[in-house]
Amino acid sequence: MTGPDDFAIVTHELTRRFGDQFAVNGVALHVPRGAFYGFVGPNGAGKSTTINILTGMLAQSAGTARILGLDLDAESLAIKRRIGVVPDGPHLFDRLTGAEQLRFAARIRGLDRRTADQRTDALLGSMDLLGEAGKLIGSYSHGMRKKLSLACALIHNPELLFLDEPFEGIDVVATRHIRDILARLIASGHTTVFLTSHILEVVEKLCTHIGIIAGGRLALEGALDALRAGDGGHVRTLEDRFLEVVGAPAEKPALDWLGAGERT
Amino acid sequence: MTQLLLLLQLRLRLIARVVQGGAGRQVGRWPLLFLFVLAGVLLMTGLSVAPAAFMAVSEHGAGGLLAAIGLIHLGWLVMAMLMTSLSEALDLRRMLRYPVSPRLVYLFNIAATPIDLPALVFVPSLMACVLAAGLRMGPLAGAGTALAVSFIALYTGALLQLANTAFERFLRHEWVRAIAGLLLALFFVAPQMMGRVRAHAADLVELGVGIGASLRWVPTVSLPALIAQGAMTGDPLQLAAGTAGAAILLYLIAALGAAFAVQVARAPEPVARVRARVGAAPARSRTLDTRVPGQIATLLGRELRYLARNPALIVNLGLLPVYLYFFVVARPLGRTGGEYFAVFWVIQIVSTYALNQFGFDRGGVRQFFMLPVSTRRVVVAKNLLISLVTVVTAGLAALTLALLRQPLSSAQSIRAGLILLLCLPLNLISGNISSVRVALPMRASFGPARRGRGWANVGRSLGVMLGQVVAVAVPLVLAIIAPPERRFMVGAIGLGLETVAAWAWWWSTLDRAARRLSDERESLLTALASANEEG
Repeated sequence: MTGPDDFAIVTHELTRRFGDQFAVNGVALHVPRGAFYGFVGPNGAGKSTTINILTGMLAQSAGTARILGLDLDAESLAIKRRIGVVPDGPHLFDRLTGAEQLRFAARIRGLDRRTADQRTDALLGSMDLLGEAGKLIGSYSHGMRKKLSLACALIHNPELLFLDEPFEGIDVVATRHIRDILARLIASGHTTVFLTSHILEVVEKLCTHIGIIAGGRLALEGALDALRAGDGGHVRTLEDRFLEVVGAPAEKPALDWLGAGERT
Repeated sequence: MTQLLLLLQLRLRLIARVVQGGAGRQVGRWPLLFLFVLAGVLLMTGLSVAPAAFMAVSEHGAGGLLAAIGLIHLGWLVMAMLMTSLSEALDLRRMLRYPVSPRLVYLFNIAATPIDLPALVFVPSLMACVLAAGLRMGPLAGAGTALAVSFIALYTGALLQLANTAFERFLRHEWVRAIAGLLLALFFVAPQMMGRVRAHAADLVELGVGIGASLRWVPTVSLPALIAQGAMTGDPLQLAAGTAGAAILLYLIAALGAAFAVQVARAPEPVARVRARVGAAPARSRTLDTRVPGQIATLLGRELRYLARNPALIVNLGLLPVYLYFFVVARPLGRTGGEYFAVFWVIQIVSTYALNQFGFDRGGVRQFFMLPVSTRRVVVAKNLLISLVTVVTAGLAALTLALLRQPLSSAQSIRAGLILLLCLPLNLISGNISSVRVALPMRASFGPARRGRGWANVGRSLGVMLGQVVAVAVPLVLAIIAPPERRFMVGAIGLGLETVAAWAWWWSTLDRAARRLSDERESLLTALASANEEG
């Protein structure tokens, strides 16, 4: 029997409209504490909108959400103290240095100066950013910003980590390193990770639980192993399951002219 | 031809987009109204100057035309350069990815010069020249003048494009740009140095005619003038030589400009050239931490770092003594009224930051909503920073006046101090609204990202300035009509009461400002975060 305290995230009828269009439509999420939850879906399915609502960037049009047992609307500051967020676009303060940005993120969360300095150095080292620590973020590449953004999200040792497409624009080495950090985080049992991605292989390797969103609606949710299990003990890949839920690609125009001799 | 039509369509779309912010966000009624008022004012200015051009040509023939087109050419160039942020030219860098010849885009931008805002001032005068020549000297003279003024418009466009490319190439580094801004400001106060501001209107007209005539040595003026002169005198050789010369010169400027522009457009994005290494952790904010409670101190420390890395502020502060010297110390405001100018200039600097408090944060503004900090604290930290800027700027102004002229009397100091204390909360209140509602991304590098949005900034600055003038004027007018022995007291008490009321008003609006920041965060993020993607 599971109670509300067993979940890091619970949403009820979460809805977000842009004009007449529903970006998220009545989503009911149940993310268990300590889970590595992969939130997947096709482009434009509502993944980023959902994560933006859950992290306070966007207001929902309807519905409720409880994060770490707290009400999203009434206790948003208390929630923000306990979560870490890596948004899709790593928007940081361009005119701070990497080290200054990290210290700012630590101090604003109430860490004392000494702890902030120690963790800043440790995270910069871990993210291979020590050499760039004194440079303005404005001169950082996309990958460096993404790593710094992750460092900012981790500096206060959050209970819940939101990662929106964390591997996009990151090289193979950095991706591997970040995956290792996340795996360690989950193994500690202290942290829940909510990750959106459209790279199913990564999600399949890392996640313990999966939610599939399509057209703004939560199409499927559950433990990864349970979702992959088919009839007669047959185990399917996440991609198979995903295509089953989202639907196989519809019939598309043939594009016969593509690659043909005529070039204009 | 199809590509040219598509470019024209794109350009018209960009002009239409001026009424919207980024991502289709409506800027609002007042800035839009300001755009129309600005266009109206420019057109009225153009129409009021056009009769002078008509008179110059009809009374002085070719000589008058030379002076007229010379002044128009120079004035158009200067105004267009000053109004770059209001322009919507096609950005060559962004067009490189399409199979359109970059030279074609460049030439299109030259040809489209007459459909920009500054053209409203100068095109009527050019048309007046044509009309005067046609009416006074016959159709051939009119046709020749029409050709001549067309060349003037094209030369203006070609030189403007060349200048914009040069700015982008050489002013990418923000400190170079800051120094250039300082030099430009000094250029504009140069007439003051020569005592020209005190000259009579007749002297100014004489000066204008002199400048116009001296431009006969400039080929972009003399060659079109030669065409018109040939047409007016019926000299086909002069007409042909002028036309051929003007066409060749235009080709050379355009070809050189296009090659230069393509080279600059293909260079790496300027964002990579943001000032490189800076110290890891200045001691300043650390000492602050112990004085101001927790989060606000951290926020203020970040604001101070940002401000210290903003050359625009350094330039503004550097210009303050320069302007005070030229306008207050070395006449014309003389010994009286100098403190009002000083206060005006301080407020001008403060307004720049107050009205667009998140502009330099750009995409970083997202952090304020991700981190566990209340929006009220963000607003308070921003307002504290602006108050600090006010104190520093006012202190510098007082010091400048004391060193260069004489210290302000106690009455002057009290009056100036009260005016500043009154204007500061008014700036904060209006700034807390406009910073969220009409947020404009400010970029570190010179470039087209700010184009088409600058007018909203200018409009709201003027509106807020007008409100402050009214607020300050009321007690000062009351003081003037009071008996002489009570004037100072009446003025001071009036300003004092207004100041107390203004600060009480500011305090009462803080919660609303915080709520607004929270409620309208989506549009703020759209306006500023998308700027990061634009580069």
